[in-house]
Amino acid sequence: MARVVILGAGISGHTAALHLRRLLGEEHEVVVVSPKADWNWIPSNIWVGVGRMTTKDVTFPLAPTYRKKGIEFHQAKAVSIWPEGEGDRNRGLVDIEYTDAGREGRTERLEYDFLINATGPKLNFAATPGLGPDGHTMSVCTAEHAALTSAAFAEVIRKLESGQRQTLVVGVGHGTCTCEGAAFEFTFNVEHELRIRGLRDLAEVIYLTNEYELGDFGVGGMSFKQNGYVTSSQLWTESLFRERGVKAIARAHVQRVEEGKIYYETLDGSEGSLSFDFAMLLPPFRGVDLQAFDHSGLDITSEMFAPNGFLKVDADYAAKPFDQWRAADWPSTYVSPKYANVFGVGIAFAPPHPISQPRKTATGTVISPAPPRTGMPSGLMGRQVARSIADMIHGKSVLPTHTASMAAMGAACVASAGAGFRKGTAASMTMFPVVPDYERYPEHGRDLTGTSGEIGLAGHWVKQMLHYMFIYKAKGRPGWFFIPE
Amino acid sequence: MSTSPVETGDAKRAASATADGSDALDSSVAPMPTSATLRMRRSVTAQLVRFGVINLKMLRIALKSHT
Repeated sequence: MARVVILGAGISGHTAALHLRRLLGEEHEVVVVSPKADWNWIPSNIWVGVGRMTTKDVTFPLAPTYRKKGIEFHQAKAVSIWPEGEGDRNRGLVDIEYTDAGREGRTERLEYDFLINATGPKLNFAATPGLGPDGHTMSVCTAEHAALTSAAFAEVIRKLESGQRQTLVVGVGHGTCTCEGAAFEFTFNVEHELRIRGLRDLAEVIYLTNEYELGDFGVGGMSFKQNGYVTSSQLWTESLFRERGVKAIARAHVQRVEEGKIYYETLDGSEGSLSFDFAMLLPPFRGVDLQAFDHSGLDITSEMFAPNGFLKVDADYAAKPFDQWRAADWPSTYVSPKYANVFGVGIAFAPPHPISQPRKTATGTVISPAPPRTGMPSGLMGRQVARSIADMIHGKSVLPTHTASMAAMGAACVASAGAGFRKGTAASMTMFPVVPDYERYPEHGRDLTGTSGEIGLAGHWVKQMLHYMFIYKAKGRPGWFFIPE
Repeated sequence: MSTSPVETGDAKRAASATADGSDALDSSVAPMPTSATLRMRRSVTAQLVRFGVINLKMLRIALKSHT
């Protein structure tokens, strides 16, 4: 009998748990540890943030689904891991601390044969003074944050309706942020909501980003085939900004936020400030606070984890200049190089380097996006790692058998605004692969057939469909595994 | 609230700033969609076709990624 413990129940961890339960017999245990009681379809938090959905529309409780599937669930956060065991216990161990009412603060030690770290990001609002819901800006990173954002946005609407001009700033709150696609999507949801209410002329909408150019999205931009030409995501994105009258400030690192004012530095070293009435700025990410110890109790956190707190896996972490980066640097099996039964998936694994070209100011402030790890790659990593572990448990191999390199997988990003059948619009993008592979695709780094961008009502329908489809899948309803990640 | 919320900023980009003197990127040379393009983006008939095309594109990259 084997026991697989999964830390985290986001897209990656939850996908891994469902697949493991499907692939392993009842004699094997699948255990999920997550500090949150609910699963959240994070891409739809954008719609919660503008009041088009509620938190109930984008979440569901994990416990009933896990009970039905035969997955053991602990509502707790992982505190430390002991991959070699401790004392007379030679099995891997995880120390957890419960977060549910009634057991809050209580600790327990779980044993494992295989461990998947899918803990996702720590939302590092503290990196920028004044950033976040405890400071002066809003967020859509969690359903709860999005609900707060919705209330603040409703107040802006009320002021606009009473004739008061308002400035809305949407973007990222630090030079090293990722998820620019989500900030871009929220920007155009806000713009759409103002426009359909006839309030657009009273509002200034500003996109504040660490991207070097619009359309970078943390993946170094994309090339598309369009009307007989190869065009860039930069031109395509700038066109949308011009059409909708949204201003953009790029190459910016937010230094601090005060009540109604954002202070930022740009790549050329100059400083600026921006007054606002409403601001939604995403935080930078780092790994969750998880410590690691060897059998003797020696702290091996720095051996297992990168300085940013993400788990080191089978990537090439050697520092090298931008022009020497290779697709092969990226991990494929997500196994820890130190422990063959420990894996890191989704946002929890340490990328070997950014995808966008790194840049810094003369004084050393890094202003370039971190690599995004969106739903599709995260789900796929969870699935492939689950398949590898199942094969290892079944004795088919001692090494991982399945791969999911971001340099060999695509991603879709649908930035949709509006509601209903006819009143929405979306910018739909697909790319293949996520990490450019200039050895395989020498000219553009990506397959132009699989990389595209278009704007229209159809993308809005796609996003609506994905919302219901992925919640259906996450609930493990009949045939869930036929829906691709 | 200020009508020109950006107060100082990137001198290099200020040279190509928008008409109100803000620190924003200059997007005045970006292509604007024609009225036909805008109609096409809203047309249910045309978008039903695009819906099929986008789904096929996504399915293609999903299948390629899964293999």
